[in-house]
Amino acid sequence: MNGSENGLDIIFEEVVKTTNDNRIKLIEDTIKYFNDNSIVVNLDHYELYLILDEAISNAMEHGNKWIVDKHVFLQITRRSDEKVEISVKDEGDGFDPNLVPLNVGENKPMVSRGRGIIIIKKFCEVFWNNMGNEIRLLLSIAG
Amino acid sequence: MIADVEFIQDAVKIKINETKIDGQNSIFELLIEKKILTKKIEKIIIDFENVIYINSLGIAEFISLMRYYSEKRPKMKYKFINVDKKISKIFKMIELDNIADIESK
Repeated sequence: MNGSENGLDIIFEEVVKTTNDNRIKLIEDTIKYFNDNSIVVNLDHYELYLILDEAISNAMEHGNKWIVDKHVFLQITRRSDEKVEISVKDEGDGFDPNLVPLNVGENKPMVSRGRGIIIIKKFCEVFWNNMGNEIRLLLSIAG
Repeated sequence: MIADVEFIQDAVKIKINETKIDGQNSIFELLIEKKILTKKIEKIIIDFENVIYINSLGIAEFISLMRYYSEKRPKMKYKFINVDKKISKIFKMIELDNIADIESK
């Protein structure tokens, strides 16, 4: 499905209920869209799969708390010839993204949360909406 | 079976049989069922030979085990063996190598 957001092209969107099967489906559908449309980003298949998984898993686990009737909204927007953005939004209460550390921190590898965000940040630029229930991953298109 | 569990003297070796570890594998529950949490062991070896993918929810399954022992047996040693190079990179990214000896394939 195509649309427009602030004059920028939404080139793909999908909404799913919160289930583990849909988590995998949403990852695979997004990667299929990239492949079918020859959009090659500066990440290999493993890395792209992983950051999509982390964003969608966070939305389902921490946002929607695995409540089946809550939805996850995924949208891909073409930002320019060089950048593509993947947005993942949930129906949870959000959180304060300023509290997410850049690194785990020495002697704190056993913290209970935040590893998914740390992994995503290692591979791409990350932004959140004010409420903290929508993450935007900005990926560079391979030259 | 999600994993095979073998006791070797003062260590336990847990060989993961799943290829993807994504938080849906209930590894910690298996370890409760196998009663390894009650055994007097000093080292936990986790064999990742079959694992080709892990996400942060999967990593949290192992963190649960480590957190359990961090209070009860703080000197417990951890060794991850046969780790795929990409997974090894993720482990180091989140500084798991501070608490476990990570041996790549």
